[in-house]
Amino acid sequence: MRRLFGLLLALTLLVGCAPGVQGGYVLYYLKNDKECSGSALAALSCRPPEEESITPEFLLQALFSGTEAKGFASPFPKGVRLEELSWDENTPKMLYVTVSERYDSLSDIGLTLADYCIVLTLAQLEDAERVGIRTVGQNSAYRIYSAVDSGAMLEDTTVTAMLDKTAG
Amino acid sequence: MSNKTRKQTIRFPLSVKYGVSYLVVLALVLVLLNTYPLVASQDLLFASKRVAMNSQTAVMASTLMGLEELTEENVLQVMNVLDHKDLERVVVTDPAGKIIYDSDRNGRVLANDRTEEPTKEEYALLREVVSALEGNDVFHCFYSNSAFVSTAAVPIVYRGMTIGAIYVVEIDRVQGKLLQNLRDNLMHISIVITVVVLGIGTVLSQMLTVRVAALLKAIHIVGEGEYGHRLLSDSHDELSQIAEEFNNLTDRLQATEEVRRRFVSDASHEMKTPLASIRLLADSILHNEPMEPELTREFVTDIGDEADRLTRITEHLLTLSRLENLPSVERTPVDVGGVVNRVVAMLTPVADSAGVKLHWRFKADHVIRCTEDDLYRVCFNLIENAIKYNKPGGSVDVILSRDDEQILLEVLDTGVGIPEEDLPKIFNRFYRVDTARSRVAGGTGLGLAIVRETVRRHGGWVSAERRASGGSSFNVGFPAYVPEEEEVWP
Repeated sequence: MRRLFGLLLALTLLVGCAPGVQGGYVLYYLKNDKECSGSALAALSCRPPEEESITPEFLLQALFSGTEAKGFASPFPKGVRLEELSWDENTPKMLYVTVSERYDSLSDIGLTLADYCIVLTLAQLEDAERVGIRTVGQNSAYRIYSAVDSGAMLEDTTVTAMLDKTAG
Repeated sequence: MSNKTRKQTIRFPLSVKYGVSYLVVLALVLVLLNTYPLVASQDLLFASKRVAMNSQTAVMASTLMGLEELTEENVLQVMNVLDHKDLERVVVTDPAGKIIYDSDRNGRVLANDRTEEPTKEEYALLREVVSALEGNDVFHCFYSNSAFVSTAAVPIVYRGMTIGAIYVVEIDRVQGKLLQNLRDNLMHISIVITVVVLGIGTVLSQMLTVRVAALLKAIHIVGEGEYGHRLLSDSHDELSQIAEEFNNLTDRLQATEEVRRRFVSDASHEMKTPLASIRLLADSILHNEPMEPELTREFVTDIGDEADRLTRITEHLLTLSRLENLPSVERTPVDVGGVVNRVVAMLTPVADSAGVKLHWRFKADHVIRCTEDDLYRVCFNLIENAIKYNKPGGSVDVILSRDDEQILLEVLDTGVGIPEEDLPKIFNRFYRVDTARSRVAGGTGLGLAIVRETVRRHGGWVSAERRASGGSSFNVGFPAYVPEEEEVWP
């Protein structure tokens, strides 16, 4: 039953997400077109069923379900899912994301790109200014990113399209 | 059915078509002029940049490969040694894309006397860097804002492991300015060419279309019946040739029209005479009562003769019309001697009654390609004329001979002869040397015209001349029949 629900959710998100739609929210994926320069990430418009239903969980579910849009590619390994999502009680606007074990297969630049897809997608929510990411079952520290700064610098190309990361 | 010709409205005048074609050619030339040199120069420069930047990044990468580990300190030391002042920016990252060295950031720090230390880790999330960290050499160059922007990235490999990437940016404003100048110059040249070509095109188009318009106007004028209109052709091009051909055509048209008018006039006149005689004779019979039966019989006989003449004229006119209008019939080999024999047999009683002796001499096997009816008509008309216009006690000689490729038929008479000045006209329709005598003899003035048309129709010729001994000589020549392969002459 859960699988069926997940499949229906993924289909709904795929239908609702299309490049070039103005307004609403966007999901960040890898650029996968003929160009070989500029930002490695690109935003794909996502139209949620209802404005009120936008939550971090919804955005991350949509992000992990991948995309078949032309010119975009998912940075996440197949089967990655959201395990836990929580707000820091002591630090305002700090969001912790725990993802499934498959995320561990990422490393180096692949891991950085996947992390930034999550951070930039969540940065659209007003309450999420910093995001910590880690994999389930490990006691390692969260990789903490400043969501606000990152989002502000993505639009530039070539020289200035570099994203900041604040040390956790 | 209406004879009025509908005048077509000119929707796209020739001048507009010429103008549009000039513009299309001009646009193609300008597009080529404004693209090819720029694209070629750009490609040349891109290739040159690729070589230079690949070489420069390779040197930097190979220097950094000597380091076991890429840290901010040791990379900074190496980069301070390397010369990269001509580059806009140099970035060195670790395998995760974290920036270890950034010439831009380091420059800012140096400018602030090292009082501002970097507090953030920066990641270069650029496709060039990502590709380099995946082990590829990347180069990209584009032209923007009057400058060539070139980016290149290569992996830094230590013992088979990618330990980072180096990413460089170069902004060449000098070459960019040169290209911009080239583009501006080409644009100025294009504007000048456009103005000149449009000017010349307009003048040429006007020159051409004015002459075409004159030709069109002349055709309209002639079409309305003004056959005397002519075009002036003062140059030596195709349009002048067309004008000359038009003038020649109009000449022929005028001549044909004159012949037609004269023919109608002559035919009307010829037919009016017997009709007037018939009317006069009929009136005489009506108004002279009681008339003696003998006189009435004479008048009625005269009416019959005039009616016969009308019939002959009509038949001859129909024959001429058929000769001119009907398509050529299928011709077969015909023995001229056989046909002449039949004609002579037919006309011997006529000659006897006129007191004219008829002689003929020819051998057999004079064959031409013709129709028997047409040849009979030619021979009959010529021999009959020779008898009609002869003197009592005179003679007619019919000679048939062969001269190389021709079969010649000569009809010689001892008649009154034809004056020298009339010889060229005797084959014209309704032309008579002696009108009164011709009418008495029952001539229509069409016999020789029919002979000429018939002979020409079968590729022959006919001529007439005065005989020194008196009388006339009519000569007809036909191409001799030459059997084709597999054709059997019966």
